Amino acid sequence: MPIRRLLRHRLFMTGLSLFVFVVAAAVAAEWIATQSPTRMNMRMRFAAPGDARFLLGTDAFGRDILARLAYGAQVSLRIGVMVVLFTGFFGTFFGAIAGYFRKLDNPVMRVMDAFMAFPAILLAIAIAAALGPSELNVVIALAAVYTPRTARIVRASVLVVREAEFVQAARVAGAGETRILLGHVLPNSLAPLIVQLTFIFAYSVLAEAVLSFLGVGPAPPTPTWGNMIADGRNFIREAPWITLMPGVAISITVLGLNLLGDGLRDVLDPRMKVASS
Amino acid sequence: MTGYILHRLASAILVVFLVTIISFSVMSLVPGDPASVVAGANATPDEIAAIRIQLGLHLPYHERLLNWVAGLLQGDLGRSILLQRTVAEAVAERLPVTIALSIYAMALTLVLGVGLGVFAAVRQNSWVDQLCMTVALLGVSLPNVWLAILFVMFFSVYLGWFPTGGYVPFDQSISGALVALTLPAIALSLTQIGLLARMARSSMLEVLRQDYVQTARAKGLPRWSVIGKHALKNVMIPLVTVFGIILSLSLSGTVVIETVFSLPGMGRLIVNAIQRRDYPVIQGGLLLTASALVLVNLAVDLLYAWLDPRVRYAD
Repeated sequence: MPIRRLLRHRLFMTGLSLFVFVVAAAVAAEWIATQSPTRMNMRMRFAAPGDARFLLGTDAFGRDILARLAYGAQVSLRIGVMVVLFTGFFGTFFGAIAGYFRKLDNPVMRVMDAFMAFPAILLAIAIAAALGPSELNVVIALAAVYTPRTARIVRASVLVVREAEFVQAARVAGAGETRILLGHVLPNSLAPLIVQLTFIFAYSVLAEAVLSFLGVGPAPPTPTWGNMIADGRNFIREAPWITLMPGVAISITVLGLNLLGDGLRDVLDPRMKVASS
Repeated sequence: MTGYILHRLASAILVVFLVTIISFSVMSLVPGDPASVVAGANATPDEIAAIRIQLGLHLPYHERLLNWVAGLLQGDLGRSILLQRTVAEAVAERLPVTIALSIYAMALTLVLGVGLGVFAAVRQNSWVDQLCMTVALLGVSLPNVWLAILFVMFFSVYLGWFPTGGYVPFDQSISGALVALTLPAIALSLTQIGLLARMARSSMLEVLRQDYVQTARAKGLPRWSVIGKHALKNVMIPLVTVFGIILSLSLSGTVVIETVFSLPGMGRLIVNAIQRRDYPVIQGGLLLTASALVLVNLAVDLLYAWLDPRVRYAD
């Protein structure tokens, strides 16, 4: 059973704990935050961590950093989940038709190659900036960037599974192409996809920080981890905690997801090398 | 091999063609009237109309695309709206910084990435392995924006070892340029070092299990000579294929690193253009960056096929 092997995989369980911790913080944000993450307390600017009212301190506007971290977790996780869903759907769609229908392979994959030719972050910034700063637009930009990378992985495993004996058997038994693809080929190409999507979740959390930092993420004062880093940067000498905290939050999340991805790869798909981005 | 080269070349040309269309079209996603966005909030209708004509926005999309491509074929990338110079001039000014930064970072990546990975594999399951892989994992997990800011804080402000930012051209002072680029190059390469170390380790582990390595060891060759002479060569070959991916990641990183360290490179040029809607610079910058990567990947594929003949027939 893969689940039992995962439960015994020490690094996977470490990653799971880190990730569950972040999810719990996001879910419990309303209870963790003693006040709104956007409420300013001008008399309490730059409170250091350990303050009686503000456990992790306040930023340049006297906003509660703990509250902003917890609500920021909601934004990062929402972006991650949405990017994974979009990328999973479109990546599987394009990868499957390219891998399964020989005539579509070349046209579909050249378009994917063209999107992959751009450095991921650069294209994401351009798309997000063109669409306007919002959470949904960050999701669209990242999905556009990561879909081709996912399609390539799905295509590769579909190409292998397509030739498997049980697929030939289904064809001989008279199953239609769509049915073979959806019922036989895709379910057996899932392992690399799941591993890839875990890493894409991690990239999305990192990318949110970059996009927000460059001003094309969800607009301030939305509490996102990237916005917090950008805000804190100007006060790094006087109040380094404003910058430190969100970076630690991102690191915990991404570390957790990377360990989950490594564990899943070890158990589901031992032959696969470290996935490309 | 000739057939393979022609096949790859045809693919690359098609991809560059598609890249051209994407580069031109990305900014067409802007909702509303781009001319009024460029003109700013206080522009009069006349000013907006003038900008519309200057940008050629009064023409339909396909005519604008054709005009742009016609210009490209004559080597004309257009003129920046904001920088008082052509896109080609702006790129020529900024390119050396990005190239120097990228070469520096790629050198660090190759040496440290392969080094960490090979060391970890050779000492599999020891504390050396765990240490190398922890470093690699942190490399791919810590956000580079954040690390870059902390680096400036710690190494430049606190310890005073490096300047906090800015660039010294190589023709002014070679040592000055290297000092200015060291911290940015380290911050830029950490992600790629992590990624490459993880790949190099699994690649090395695979090679170490091969018969010829066992044989070389069995006939009494010393451990490190087997690793250096027999194993390492075969580790490098699969790593050649990820060169393009690593370079692409590195270029993604320059966008951030150049901003944090105030380096006047291509990444910052394009990001500033994106933020200020300087369409010709965005389009030209995206096109040049992506085309360069297509060419690098083409070269890598051909090199790989030459190194490992099996590839030519498998594709």
